[in-house]
Amino acid sequence: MVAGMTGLVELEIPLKADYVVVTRLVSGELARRAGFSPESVEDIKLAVSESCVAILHKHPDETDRMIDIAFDFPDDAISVEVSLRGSDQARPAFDRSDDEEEALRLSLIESLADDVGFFGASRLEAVSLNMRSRESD
Amino acid sequence: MDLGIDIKREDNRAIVGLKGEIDVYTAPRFKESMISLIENGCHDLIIDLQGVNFMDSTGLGALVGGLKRVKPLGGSLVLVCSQSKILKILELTGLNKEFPIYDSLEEAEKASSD
Repeated sequence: MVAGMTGLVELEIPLKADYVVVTRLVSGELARRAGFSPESVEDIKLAVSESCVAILHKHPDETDRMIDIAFDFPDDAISVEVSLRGSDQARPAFDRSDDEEEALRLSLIESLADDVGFFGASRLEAVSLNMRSRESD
Repeated sequence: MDLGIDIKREDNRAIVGLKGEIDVYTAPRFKESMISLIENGCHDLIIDLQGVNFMDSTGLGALVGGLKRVKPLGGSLVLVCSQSKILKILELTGLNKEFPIYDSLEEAEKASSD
């Protein structure tokens, strides 16, 4: 059962590999406080972290940019928007490349989350995730 | 969180013990260690993940890259892992079918020397 968390929580990190760990610390703690089970907390941490990595890998030379991560807690769920600051607000669907590691990453995110959206015309710029609590949570 | 890498080499076999988190920040160092071993004639690798408490797709990518390097050389890459959260990631991505996975280092060593 998701309990005790209301309102939007926002986090911003530089678009650098060094800071992705921060998203795991924050998302893990928020999910824990929201009442998710330990296994679901790990899933949420990994999905959020992978979303940041997916964007990072598509913009390797843009280290002066920021990633915004917004957490919300609708009924029995956690909803996360991960987006590159200054990205296309029209949110066009992302065309996947044939990069093997990217395929692993995106399929992992899809396996972990209940609903996923990947956005960005030529390069991934935003990921939306929705993860519902399970009966066992 | 950092990644500890402990390498024990015996002839053409190496045991790579990892401790900590394998993520986008730490995976490049793991990848470099593995490539260096392979380039120096170490073609049978045992990667011990028992001390790993987090692994992401960049870690998986490093493992796949290592496997792709040793296979054409007649080598092998096996994993030691009994942690459910790491096994889950391997299963979700189907990589549990690509790598032999052992519950303990002893089992992996025995299988590797058979």
